[in-house]
Amino acid sequence: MRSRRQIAGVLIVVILMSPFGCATSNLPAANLPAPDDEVGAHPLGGWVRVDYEQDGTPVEISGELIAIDTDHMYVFDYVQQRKLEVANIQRARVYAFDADAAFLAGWATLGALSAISHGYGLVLSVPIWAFTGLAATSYRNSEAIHSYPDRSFDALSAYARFPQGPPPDLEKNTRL
Amino acid sequence: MANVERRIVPPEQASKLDKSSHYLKVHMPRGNVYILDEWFVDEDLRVVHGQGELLDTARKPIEKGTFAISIDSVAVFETNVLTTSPALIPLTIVTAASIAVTIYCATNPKACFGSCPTFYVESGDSMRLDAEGFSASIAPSLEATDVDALFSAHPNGRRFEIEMRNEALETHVVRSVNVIASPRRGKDRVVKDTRGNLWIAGAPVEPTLCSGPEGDCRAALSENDGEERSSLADETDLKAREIIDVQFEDVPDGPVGLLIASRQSLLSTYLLYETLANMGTDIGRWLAMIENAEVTANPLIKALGEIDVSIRDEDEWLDAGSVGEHGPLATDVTVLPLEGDFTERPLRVRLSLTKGNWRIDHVAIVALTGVTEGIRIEPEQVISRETGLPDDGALVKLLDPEESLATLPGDVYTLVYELPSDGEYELFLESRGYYLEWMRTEWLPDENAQHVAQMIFSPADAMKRLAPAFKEVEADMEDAFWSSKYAKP
Repeated sequence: MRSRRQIAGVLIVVILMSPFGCATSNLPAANLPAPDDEVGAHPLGGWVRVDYEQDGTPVEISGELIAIDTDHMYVFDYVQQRKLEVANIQRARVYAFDADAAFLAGWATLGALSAISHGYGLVLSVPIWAFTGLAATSYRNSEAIHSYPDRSFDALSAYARFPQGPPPDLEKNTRL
Repeated sequence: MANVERRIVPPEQASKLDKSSHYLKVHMPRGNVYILDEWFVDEDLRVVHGQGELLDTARKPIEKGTFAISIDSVAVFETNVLTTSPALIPLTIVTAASIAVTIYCATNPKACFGSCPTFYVESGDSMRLDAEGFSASIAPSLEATDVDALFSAHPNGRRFEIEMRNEALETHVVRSVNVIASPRRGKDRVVKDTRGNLWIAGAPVEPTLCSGPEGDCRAALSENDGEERSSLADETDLKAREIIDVQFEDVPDGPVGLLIASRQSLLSTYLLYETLANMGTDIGRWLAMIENAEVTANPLIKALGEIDVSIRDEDEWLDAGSVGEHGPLATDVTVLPLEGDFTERPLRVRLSLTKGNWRIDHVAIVALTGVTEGIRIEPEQVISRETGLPDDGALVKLLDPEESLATLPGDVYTLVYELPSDGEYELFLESRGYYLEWMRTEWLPDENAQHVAQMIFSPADAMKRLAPAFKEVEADMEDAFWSSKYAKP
């Protein structure tokens, strides 16, 4: 019975950690370089998710962040290029690189599992691991994910394919 | 795990490009981009050199090779510098702490929480540990009744609740848990003596002088305020004793008693665990010998002794008795009636106690104006924390003298009592039962029959042998002990 309780406590940590570890899941891997030298050689923009008001209807638009200028954000969703009015953007999150928060979540989970070696001290150890794991994964995600309105569109444009702004003829270019 | 610091730099600030960026991206006005490795800036010629490739707006390669790009033709530069993510820091710290705890638990497995059932009563917004039951009863044959003062209990109304917890790796066999309520008059308190008598006690007379090995100890021993006087164990002999001299003036007329609020340190817990560890896999045989009275139980703890009290009479110290509450958790208040007339001169009291074994909160003289009776109150209801519902089966076991309630680590029961409706009462907890310590895997390497034999037949030598080992863990034992309390996850 004791083992079941210990395992139950540890499982709580696993369950708590899982959504943070998966925060960057279901994003196209091609748009999420690993946080190493690959970032510097990566030619594409970051992946962006936009909460957008289109004709009075809220929609979510996702795709590669192409460029941002004074009035518009350009997003390529691999089907078409979308030109969004920045005035109608409620929220935007740009994923600059793969945060690999799952690694931290796994670390914390293994730490919580190792707390079994603390005997009944795990009553303290497991919550500490859970809190620290959640804090670490949350912080890690904040490093990799840049959001509007927390940050300005100008700051987000650094993670676009064209950080200098849309090049000429961008709207005519269908070869993105 | 790295963090990436991206900087977008306009061409007019090319001299400020961070050279620690492995790659340099050179974004051109028409959307093409150079991705350069081994790059450098020639500020004199205003040219960026590097090896790499040129990509079009669709990021398809146009050209590979060595490039020299005019800074004035560039839209913006992009650098990406890797730094260590601060997200690793808290996990690294916790990992280091966790490893330290693992090592500590592995090397000091006897520093874990233990000691019989704990009883909590309401104190403001929280539950306060106010008593521990039958601490010395570590085997069925040692089943005993223990009476503890619930000195800080202030029940609101007739319903009075006590939470009984099993917070250690122990099986508790609880025969009964009753409340003894004794009527209070005015500001008088009711205190118990070592024989179980209940005395009506007047206001405490605080010491005017107090002298221990550490010097003046009056502040610590005055008032029942949680500020305790304690000391460290001897380095060569765990049963070495120390002396505290206390003096009282303006002692009241008539019978008086010495009031002592105290509890043990963790020395007794350590010795109990050391004994069990040395018994190891043979503990069943040793316990059987204890049950058959073939050997003495708790020889080391008995060797620690109690707080011996003597009073000064002319030119000699006269033995006045002993006081001692077993258990390191809850402070108990006991009175030791003193014989004699102490109104003519200051009353000098000497306490002799084992070094490092006691934590004394209060020492005072009280007038004893008579013996009183208490009303024994059995629980009306038992509520299991696990279900949140009344547990009639547990109640029956606590009420039937032939039965007992066995609890396991993490079990918590709320015992509900109905107090008399008239007046104010002093409350005491009367618990009866025994408990069985669980053997721990970490203890088994310490199995040593010769050491057990020494503990039983020559405890004085064992106390000397164990002194260095105890001194190694004494400083950290308190923290480790309280942090290893067991509660159900």
